[in-house]
Amino acid sequence: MAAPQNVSLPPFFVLEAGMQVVVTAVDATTGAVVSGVKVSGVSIDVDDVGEGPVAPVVPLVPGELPAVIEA
Amino acid sequence: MSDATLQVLRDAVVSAPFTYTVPGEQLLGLVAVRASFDGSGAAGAFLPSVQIKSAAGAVMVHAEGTSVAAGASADASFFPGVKAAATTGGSGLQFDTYPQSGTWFYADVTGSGGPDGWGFEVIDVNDNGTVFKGVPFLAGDVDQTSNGAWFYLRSSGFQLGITNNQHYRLTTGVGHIFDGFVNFAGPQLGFFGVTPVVRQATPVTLGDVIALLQAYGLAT
Repeated sequence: MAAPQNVSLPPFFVLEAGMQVVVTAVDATTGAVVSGVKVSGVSIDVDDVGEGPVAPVVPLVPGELPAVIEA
Repeated sequence: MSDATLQVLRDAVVSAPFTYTVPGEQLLGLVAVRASFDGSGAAGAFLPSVQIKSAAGAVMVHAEGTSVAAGASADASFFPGVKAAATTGGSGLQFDTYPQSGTWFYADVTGSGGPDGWGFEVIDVNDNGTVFKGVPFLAGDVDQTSNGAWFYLRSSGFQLGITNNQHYRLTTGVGHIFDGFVNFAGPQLGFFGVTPVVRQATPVTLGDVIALLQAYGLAT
């Protein structure tokens, strides 16, 4: 059974174009990625807080993987 | 401008790390990240983590959970405002916490090379006093020294156990005040001034009294 964990993130953090959210598993001592860990059920919740100077917001459809996501 | 919360979902199982890149010219307020971590094939213990990287690839935020053993799994949620869990009974010594009770306490020191040359020390810094210094009773003398004006031992009873025919003494920097020993003709006790005044076996005999009077010039 997977144990639940709650981890704090900085509040009011705005992601700009090109920035990345990386979900990973790291070694506590070295900080290196631990191999063999599988990640699933990823959910990234975001608020659309504005538009960049050029392009409009790309809608994110719940349940579907936007084409820009890098697996 | 909209304040609706949107979700980027990825249900498929992928090997860590999973990376989402903010597309286009969007500005997105990060609300939460959630993921399941399956460590059944992990090479070792790991910390579920979320990193936020700049467009140039620099790590701006690194949030990590608690350690998950290899073979175990975790469902981790990352969101603002999570408070650290309160400490509930640590396994080690903790400052500003009392009483720290248990069945036993075992401190294993490997030598006498502490900061002051002692194997085990407890120092009261504010009072500039030594609470306790200890070393194993080795072949050499063990000197418990108080740096205060007085050193008190108070109890309803007090006993010093001495083995191997050694003295027990009260002493000053200029000589012994009291010197007792057991290695001669039974228990003996001596009271000393600058020179020995009387060293007396038990029981006191008439000869002992005469010797005492002679020592003070009261008899010839």
